Amino acid sequence: MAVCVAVIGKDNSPLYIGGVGNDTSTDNELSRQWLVHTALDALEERLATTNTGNAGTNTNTARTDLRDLYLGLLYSTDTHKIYGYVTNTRIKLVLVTSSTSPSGSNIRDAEVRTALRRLHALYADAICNPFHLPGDQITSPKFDKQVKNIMMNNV
Amino acid sequence: MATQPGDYTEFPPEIILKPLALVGLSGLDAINNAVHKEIWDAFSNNRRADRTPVRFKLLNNTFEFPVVKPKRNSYEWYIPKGILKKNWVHKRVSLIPAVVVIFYDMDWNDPQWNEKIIECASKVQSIRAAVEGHTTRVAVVVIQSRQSPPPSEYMLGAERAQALCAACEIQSKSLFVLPHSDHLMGYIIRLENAFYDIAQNYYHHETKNIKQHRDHLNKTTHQYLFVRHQFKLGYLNELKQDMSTAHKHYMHAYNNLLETRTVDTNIHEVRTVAGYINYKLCKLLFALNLPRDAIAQLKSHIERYKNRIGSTELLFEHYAWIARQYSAFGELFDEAIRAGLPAIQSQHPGFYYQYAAQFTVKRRQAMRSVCSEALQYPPPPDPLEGIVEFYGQRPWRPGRLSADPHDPQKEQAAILALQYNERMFNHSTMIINFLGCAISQFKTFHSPRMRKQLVVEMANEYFYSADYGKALTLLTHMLWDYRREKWWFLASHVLNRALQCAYLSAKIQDYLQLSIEALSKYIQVPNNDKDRIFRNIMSVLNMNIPAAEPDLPATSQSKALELWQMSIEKEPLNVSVDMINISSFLEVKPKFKQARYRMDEMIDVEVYVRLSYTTTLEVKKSFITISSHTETIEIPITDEGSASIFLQGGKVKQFLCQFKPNPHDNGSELHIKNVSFVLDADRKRKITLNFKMDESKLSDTTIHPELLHFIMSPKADYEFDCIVPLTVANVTSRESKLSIVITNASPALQGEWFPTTFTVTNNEESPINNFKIALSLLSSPDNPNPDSVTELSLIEGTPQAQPIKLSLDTIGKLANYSNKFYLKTNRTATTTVQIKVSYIIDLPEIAKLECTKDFTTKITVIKPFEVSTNFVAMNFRPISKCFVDDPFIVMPQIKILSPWDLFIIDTELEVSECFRNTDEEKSLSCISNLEVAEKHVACDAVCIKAKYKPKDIPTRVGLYNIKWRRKSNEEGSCVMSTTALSGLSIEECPIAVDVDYPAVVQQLTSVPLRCILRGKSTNPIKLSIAVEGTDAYMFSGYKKMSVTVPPRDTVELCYNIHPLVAGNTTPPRLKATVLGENSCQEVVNEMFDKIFPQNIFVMPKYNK
Amino acid sequence: MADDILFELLHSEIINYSLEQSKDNKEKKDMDLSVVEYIGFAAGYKIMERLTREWPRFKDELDTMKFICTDFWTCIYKKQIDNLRTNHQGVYVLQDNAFRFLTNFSNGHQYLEYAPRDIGIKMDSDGSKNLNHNIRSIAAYSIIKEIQELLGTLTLR
Repeated sequence: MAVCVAVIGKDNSPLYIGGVGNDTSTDNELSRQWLVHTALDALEERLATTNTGNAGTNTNTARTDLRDLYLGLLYSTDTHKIYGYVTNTRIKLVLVTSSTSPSGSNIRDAEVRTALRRLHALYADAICNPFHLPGDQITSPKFDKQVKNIMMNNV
Repeated sequence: MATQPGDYTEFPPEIILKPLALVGLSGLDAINNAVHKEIWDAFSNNRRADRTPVRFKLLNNTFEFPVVKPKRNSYEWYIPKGILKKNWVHKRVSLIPAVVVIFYDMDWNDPQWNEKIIECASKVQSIRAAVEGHTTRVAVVVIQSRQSPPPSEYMLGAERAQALCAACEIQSKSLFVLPHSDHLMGYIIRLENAFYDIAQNYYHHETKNIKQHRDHLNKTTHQYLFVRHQFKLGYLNELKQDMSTAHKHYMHAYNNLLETRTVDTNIHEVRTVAGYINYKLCKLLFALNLPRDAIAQLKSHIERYKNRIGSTELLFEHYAWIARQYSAFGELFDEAIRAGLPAIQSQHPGFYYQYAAQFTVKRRQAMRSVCSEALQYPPPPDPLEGIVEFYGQRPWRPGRLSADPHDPQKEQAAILALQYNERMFNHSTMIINFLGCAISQFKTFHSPRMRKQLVVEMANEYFYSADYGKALTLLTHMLWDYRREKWWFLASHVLNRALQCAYLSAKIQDYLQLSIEALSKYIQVPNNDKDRIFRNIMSVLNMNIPAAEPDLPATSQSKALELWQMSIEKEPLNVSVDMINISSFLEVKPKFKQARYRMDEMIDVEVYVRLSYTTTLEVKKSFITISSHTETIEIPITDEGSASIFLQGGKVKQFLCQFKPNPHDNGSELHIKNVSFVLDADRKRKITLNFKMDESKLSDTTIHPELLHFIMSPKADYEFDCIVPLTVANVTSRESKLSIVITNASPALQGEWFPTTFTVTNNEESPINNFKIALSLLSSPDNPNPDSVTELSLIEGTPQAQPIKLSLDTIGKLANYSNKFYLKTNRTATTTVQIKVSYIIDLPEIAKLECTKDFTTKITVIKPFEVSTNFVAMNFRPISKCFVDDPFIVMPQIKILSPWDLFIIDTELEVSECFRNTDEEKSLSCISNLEVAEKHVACDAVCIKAKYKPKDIPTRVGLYNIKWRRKSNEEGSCVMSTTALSGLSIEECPIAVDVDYPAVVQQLTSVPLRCILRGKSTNPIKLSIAVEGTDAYMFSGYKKMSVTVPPRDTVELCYNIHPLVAGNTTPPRLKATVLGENSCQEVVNEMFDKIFPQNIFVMPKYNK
Repeated sequence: MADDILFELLHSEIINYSLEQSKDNKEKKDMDLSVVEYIGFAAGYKIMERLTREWPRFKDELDTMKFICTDFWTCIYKKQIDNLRTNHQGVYVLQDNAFRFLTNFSNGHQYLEYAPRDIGIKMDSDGSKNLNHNIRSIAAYSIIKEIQELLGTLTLR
């Protein structure tokens, strides 16, 4: 189960951060924001190596992986696993699972990939909202609800 | 217990130290003996990693070896009191050398050899006695002062060495000779290696000893001993530098330890030792270049022990221990990286320091939950006093293995003492330390955001330890980045904490700046209480102490109040806030109304101000700062004449500032540098809000104006967002009201000094002063570099340097100034002349304003005429070649192109080298003093002949000079135009022919005809001459004959011709055939053909 | 087929409408042009997210440009770009010899040139012609801005 999902713009500003938590207190929100924000480090590093292509000893199979929009597990902490996805328009999607809850720790890579691809589709729909301003935060409740659904469905 | 208790979790130095074989050096007097000192220094100094892994210890005479414990024969009844003895490692690293080396000064041929050998032997003996019981090896080094002995003494040396070995009871391989010479270092290195070999041998022997014990042990009672022995084996192998074996034994030790049962009484000891062994294991794995294994080892280690908490009363010890495991691992990892291990963003020491910090935080939490009652250190006797023999054992119950505390009271006191110490412990320092290490690692490994988060955590730690100043500095730096990346939630978090710090440290500048930013619409504040923040800003402005921030630690509040009381009425009284870099409640966009202003215009700047916070803000004074290259001025912003302006929350207000340009700024740029708003409450304090306009920043507007069409915001906002600031404007000269009239007889003719008259009229409202004119040529695409071919002057015929400057003084209103300039050019193109006028005028609004105006006039230049040439023979028949010494006529034709009538004064042909004029004295040109008009053709004729035949055909016959002037310009100077006339080929003929054919003859009248053949060459020429008769004539003379023309002489032939018919007739003509060598036949033919006319007009004869 | 013409009709009506709006207010002409620009930008921004969704990650700038010239172009204009040139310093010249919205015009119109970087259109006497390029130019511009930081110069004959 994903505990947090974030959409980050190409200028690294947050467009949407949604979390499924027991409470919505500031502390919870804060730790979520820290997590997503610091995940950008790993994302940027990953993109830098993808772009320059100097991954060195990587074989051909690894290179095809580099062209996947889904970047896989970025890193894991004691409590969370953080997955990344970067669209061709440099929109960054981050999905965080909890490694303490059983559903979060047993999650399979393919599931995360599917979830992030669905999130991408949702995002593409959300920005087609005529009231959405390109580059602005996504405030649509519909989007929020759908994203929360993705997070829950992955239990 | 007033001082900060030391941190008991730190690893003892002997565990951290890299084990090196210990070699004792005896018999060296490093203090008094220079030679000995040199030897000792050579051994001990500069022990880099590439030298043998040996530690040298200087043993003096009083050095005592530890007493050997009696060998235990049976372990059956032995119950170990602990796991690892504290002094065992210490002994191995500094007390029990593997080798003791006895140094002795002695030359083989020493005169007192016998005494010396005895002394040396006794020294060895005394060392032997000292090490009694240990298997420490003994070696002897003989220091010899001389160079290697002469060959005759080889035998002596060998003999005496053997004798020495015998006397000292050592093997010959333990005897070394150290010649004290220039190559000392080389000998030392060799000795070192030899000692190292012996030491390895010793440690190997020691390990065997320990292995022997193992057979006696059983698992039930001797679990600790298994650990101990394996640890010792590991350590000895490390001393031996056998890393993988050492790792194997440590691993055994670690696993054996895992099997021991842990209870509250021994948990501290077990985990302490486990920590040490784990440290050793990880260190070895890094040394063996197995970093992944090291990381896995640490992970499993933590995993295994994280639930072995022990007594909950001492929970903090558990977390302290985990934190230490992580930090020690971080240090090992860091060390390995410095030794060359590559690390990546996702795996580097920073994480372990971060964990260490996190667990120290947990340690503090544990302390808070369990130590709250430990307010007093227990009364004496101090339960923590006392020496323990084993690592990790408690001083109040050393060596006890049973699970129950034997003395509950003492136990209680001890726990209280530990808890009290923990309360006194400064966790923050430790956390900050760990965070500091982590921050630098995350910075190295490309994790700027992680680093930022840790810095914020560090700042929080400073906040908890009441170091608000430091916390504030860190937070304000971090705020910048979160703001830039628009993580407003995080920025708000940082800002609120920073605001607390600023309040608690009563830093007025920071407090105000942070408060102002807190009012930004992007920032969330606690309880959403922005009014409080606004009131606080006003309080500080009014010299009142602001209300406290929410959620402050209660203890710090009174202190803060004191600080505020001290500082509120003091500096800084003028607080300026840089608004452009923060997000705030006030936004400003200044805009020049036009991008270009003329000097006589008022410059107007529109300033749009939006106050996004819902309040009414009174600004006492506001101004914009404008700078040019000469000065920086401040223009006040006023609201209908009043300096103080009122801003309404949520509204956009527009102000207009106008000012006159400075005359010195003519032609330069004006920049809006700053817009400032001064908040002032009539007390001493002022807050100046500065919006510095940095042009580079303004260009990247956060949002494209077009995007705002769909924004769902009030109309006022839309307009504000759509305003594109314009902070640069050009000031250009005032438009001059001078006019110019240019008169000339254009087009100009190439080569003439062409006069142009210009008249400047002052149409200004007043007289102009300091009137100046500059004339210059402008280049244009079809006429680049006009200066190279064109002259400009005010005086006809005299070129002047450009620009030609004229300084005049005053010109009255509506008066004019007139002058004439001359232009001479050799290029037929349009020439542009610039007439630049500048002057100073006093206008009602601006005095002494400099004005300039550029006038240009275009002058087309054409050729006055075109010259072409014809060549004709003396009989005016066109020729294409001439013969040497044979005269012909050059006929230049001048075709007039000029629309103006011209007067040709004279012409002249300057013949080239190979021609000359036929007339000795120069004849007057036939077209001199001739008036011509457009399309006329003037034809000249000059008779010349070739002097000789040059090698190449001459390119031109000569230069044709025409002196001319415009007809209208009677008194003006004349122009000399020169044209090159085309060339003509020259031939040489061996004979010349002179015939005096008359042009006209009369019918039936005989005409004598004399034909003179002239030899030109040096050889006689034989010709056969024949007359080509015609029906129209009769003639007398030889019809056909042979003549020989002698060289440089003549032959005369005489004929009479008698025309029979009138009209145009062909006369009889001579033909010559060259006899003999006939290469010149063709030329001779041409010559004869040319000389004898084709036609003669015969007049009819009238019989009167 | 009707679908295609629908889009073209809608497009030309938008242009006409925008021009109509600006006619009575000469001063505001630039602002009204920006409406079309915004439509182009937003449309490009939104459509791009969809078009690139199933696409593997673009390796580099050139990869991105190829996508624009082939798939993107085909999607919007029903044909590929005819010529793509670059100076390998971030400037790309795209040439479409039969631009969808221009093929309906009679021959002999002037050379048109615009730089999508500024989104600005050099106003020509024939305003509507320029505007016809507008959506495309903005769309292309938005892609460029979206995916990589590169400047594009597109010329069209």
